Amino acid sequence: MTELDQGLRDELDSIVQNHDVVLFMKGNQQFPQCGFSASAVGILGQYVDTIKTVNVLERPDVRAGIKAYSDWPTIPQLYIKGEFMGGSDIIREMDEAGELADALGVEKKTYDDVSIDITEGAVKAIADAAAANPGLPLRLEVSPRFEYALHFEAAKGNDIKRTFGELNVVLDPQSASRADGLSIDYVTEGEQAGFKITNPNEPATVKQISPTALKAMMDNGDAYVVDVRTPAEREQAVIEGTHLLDASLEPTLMGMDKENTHLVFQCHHGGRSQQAANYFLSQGFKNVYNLTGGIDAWSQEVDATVPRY
Amino acid sequence: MKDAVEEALRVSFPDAVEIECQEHGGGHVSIRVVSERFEGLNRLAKQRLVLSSIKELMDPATGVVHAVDKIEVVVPA
Repeated sequence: MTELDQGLRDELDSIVQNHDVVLFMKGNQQFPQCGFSASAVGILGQYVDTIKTVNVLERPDVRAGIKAYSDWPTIPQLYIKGEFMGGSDIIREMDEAGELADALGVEKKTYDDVSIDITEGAVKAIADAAAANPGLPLRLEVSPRFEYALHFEAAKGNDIKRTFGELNVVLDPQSASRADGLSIDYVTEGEQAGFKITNPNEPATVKQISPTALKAMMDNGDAYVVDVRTPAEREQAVIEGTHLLDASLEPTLMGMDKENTHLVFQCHHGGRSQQAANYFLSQGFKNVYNLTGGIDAWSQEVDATVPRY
Repeated sequence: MKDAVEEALRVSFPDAVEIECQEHGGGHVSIRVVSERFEGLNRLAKQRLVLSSIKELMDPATGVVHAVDKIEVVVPA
């Protein structure tokens, strides 16, 4: 077993003493990177909204060090109020035995008031499949990464149940914790038809926008467009009304209304601007776009007077 | 691997009524031990007893056991 140096020991002491609930895990709460870590955050998430997590994949020293610190050979590891509780097995057992609520000092959440909606159109579209699975409810699953799955499967003891006309729907508690306000519709666009799921709990992501759609947004005055290319590239070709991203623009952007500003990033082909868009998303902007194909696509689709290079 | 784990457990729990290791591939195992030694211990202490007896097999550098999916410890009735 790895020796634990004093600096790391002090750091681990400080982490477990300064947070009520600490989980040393692989990945983070949104993106657990191993099944045991996923199980642990899934269970803890039914009691508390946010927990302090330490991603050992980003800290090889902690990955080895925490095993020595706790004298415990595996990850994840849970600390509550400075006390080592155990790994994913113990977390599950404590949950099942009702002991986790006492240890955490909070009641397990109930999801009785979780509201979901399935439109009549969607219920109709599911009807044939439902008829082929008599007696089984439709199970809706929402993963920690907000991936969705729909299939017919028998209800389990702690499922949350909802009924839409003839259709019975069930969700497990972890899915339900991510589903309040979710709606499922069945939409037809041209030749294509399919289910459309909207979920207000989904974290914001960078949206891809086409040149034509961006043109419409700019004409309405709804978009603040940031050009992440170099000044030299701007001399070769530029989209009118865009702003060069330089050291002086960044504080201006940071001062903007993060909830309501529609920030669009643009470069030559759409690669560099994606990086910039990801960064501003991480800074808390809720409406962040990347111009698909960059100024090159703009030149081909919207304005041929913009030179291609 | 099953044999190595069960052997290590027999050394630590000579009194055990039952010792069983199941392999799940990829270095994952499940363990079941029935022994008087678990009497009066909490969950953490019970699992520590089991894990400490296979500590060398779980060494990240030299061990063959990568993860213990499930530990079942039982005090004989």
